[in-house]
Amino acid sequence: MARTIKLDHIAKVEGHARLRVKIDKGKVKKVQLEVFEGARYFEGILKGRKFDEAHIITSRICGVCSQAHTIAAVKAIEDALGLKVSKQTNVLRELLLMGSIIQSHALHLYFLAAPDYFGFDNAIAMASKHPNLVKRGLRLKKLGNDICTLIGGREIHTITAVIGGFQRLPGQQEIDALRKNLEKEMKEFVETAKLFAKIKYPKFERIFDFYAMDTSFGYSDKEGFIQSTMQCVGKTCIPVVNYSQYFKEYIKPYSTAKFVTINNKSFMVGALARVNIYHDRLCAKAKSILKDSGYKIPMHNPFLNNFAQALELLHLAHRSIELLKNLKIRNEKLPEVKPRKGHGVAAIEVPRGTLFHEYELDDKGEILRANLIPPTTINLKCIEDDVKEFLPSLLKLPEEKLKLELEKLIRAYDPCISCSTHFLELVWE
Amino acid sequence: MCARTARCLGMMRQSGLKMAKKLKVGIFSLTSCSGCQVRMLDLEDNLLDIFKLVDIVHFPLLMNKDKPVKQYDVAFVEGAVTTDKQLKEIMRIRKKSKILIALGTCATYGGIPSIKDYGYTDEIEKTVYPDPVPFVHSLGVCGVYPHVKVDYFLRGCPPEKEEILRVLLEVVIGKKVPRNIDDPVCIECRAKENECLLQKGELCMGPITYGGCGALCPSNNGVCYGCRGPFDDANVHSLLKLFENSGVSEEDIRRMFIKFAGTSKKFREARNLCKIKV
Repeated sequence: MARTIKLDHIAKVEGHARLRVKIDKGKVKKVQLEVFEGARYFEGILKGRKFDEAHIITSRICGVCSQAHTIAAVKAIEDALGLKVSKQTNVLRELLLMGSIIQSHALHLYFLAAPDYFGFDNAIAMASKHPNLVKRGLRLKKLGNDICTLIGGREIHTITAVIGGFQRLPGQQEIDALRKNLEKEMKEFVETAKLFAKIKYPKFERIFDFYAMDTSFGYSDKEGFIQSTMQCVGKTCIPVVNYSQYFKEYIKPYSTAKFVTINNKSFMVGALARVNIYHDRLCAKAKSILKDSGYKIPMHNPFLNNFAQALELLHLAHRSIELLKNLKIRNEKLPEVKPRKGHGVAAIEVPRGTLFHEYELDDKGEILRANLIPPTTINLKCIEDDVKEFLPSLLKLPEEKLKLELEKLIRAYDPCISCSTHFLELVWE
Repeated sequence: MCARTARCLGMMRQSGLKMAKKLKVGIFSLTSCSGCQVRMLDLEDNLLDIFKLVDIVHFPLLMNKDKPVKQYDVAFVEGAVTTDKQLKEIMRIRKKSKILIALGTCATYGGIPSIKDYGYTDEIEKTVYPDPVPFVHSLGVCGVYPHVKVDYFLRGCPPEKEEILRVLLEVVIGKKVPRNIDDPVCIECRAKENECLLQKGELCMGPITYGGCGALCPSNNGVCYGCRGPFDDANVHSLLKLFENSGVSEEDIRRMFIKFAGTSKKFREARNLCKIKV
């Protein structure tokens, strides 16, 4: 007999989605991750808009990682216009992105994922029993936001980052004050990494490929933000300019989000991918926590994405301090920008993985075509495939428990549904 | 934080945050970037106080299970109405809520997603979904206001977190309708002694846009994009004249008036005035 269970709205993820699963005679027949976020047609909206509006409009794709879209957009437009930016601009952009990832990871780990592992429905309930945990989450989130506000003008929907650089530069005093603040809170970042190393994650492994930019910000010894290739552990590299030849983007009749595969196979981007590929570039403290955890690289358990996020938090805080230490603000004028015909692509590492922005401009600087691939779009297929493999081990559990385990798996990916819609209810069939 | 909000919160802390009856607060999300929900969490310093002060019964970004209630004392709604399902949802929320607050520009005017209705909708939809997907078709994008009565518009993309806190506290102390600030961005900008961007010939929407943001964009050397929408007495006509006289192209003006608040009555009038299409 076919089993029908409904899990209608997957909460504690950004956006609206549900999961539909069909089980017949103990076999998983169908898994559909349905995104029912209202379609917003960003690529269509961008058509006919001016080149200098792309970063303002695309920032509104996502309230959790708005800085990511801002920076990807300005970089892609600069690529189309043949514009080079200063070293200082690159450093400030890297800092802004790191701030974005710190606030996003802190929000996800302490407010969306932690209640699952500590046995609470939500962070509000958790706050009454473990106030210190929630307080620490808030402090780390605030530090990320402080970086974003100092560089970008406010916590979300950055004001200052524009094509060619920054229209307002942070003050040297504020930079030094922020660095001291980060240094003071460093042990909270270390505690976070240790906490998420100790958590008992569900046992589950599936072999899939990991991808990340080979110059992922923060992980790079080289100067950040050089456009280059996507790397797969021990496998082929994909040059960013040709990404569309490798990616297969397709629409499924049940979802307003698109799906992406390479060679018809799902693959994962995000914190786990980055740590698996660039673990040797982590800061010393993060490396030692990873070593002590006993987990072997590459980690193939998607739940460990949460551990990877905690390692990244520590690493990025460390790297932010380094960058802020060496940052001596010089007054730079924005370059003059002349519209011209062109085609530009940018791919950067953002909280949930690799984000692609591509634009084609006409000679007046109007956008003729835009293509955006957010990391969650890439991870959706991976989540579907994971659920298919994870589910059979859960079938003996009572329904409530089973649903929770599935939700935990989906949440481990920290999916950002608004981004991928162009996300989550769980419907059992 | 403004002095009044700080005093208010201080008094509540002193009283041990014990209220006679905790208000049931629902935070709802329609088509959006979830930035307004995140904005509530951005109140890091006050968040634990807020959790104690009010009973949050619905908050999809943070909570798995809703707390069942007959009625919401306050409903904050983020996002634009873009589907029939959401239309039904907003009607249901209105019916069950004593006070309904539109949270952010999407809930107020439709925001950035409303741009789609000012091009050729079919073409825009086809750009993203080349083969027709029957369920992917949206209504005309608009805020919640044309569909239901709204008690307070918490404007902005993103809304100011201080304003969220002020409005929440005002409701907690028993105000039915929170205070509305009706000054343009321009006044706040001048108070900060910023250099006037309009006088430099830039396309700044400051004179006609609702203040309350502290002229944040101009204070960061950027023009005001009008994300908070036109204030009630905005003289859109004279700003249009100014733009035209400084040689700004009609297309640029059109794009400026079709961005965050293109669905507002004032901006629709503006587009008629300068004979801009749509």
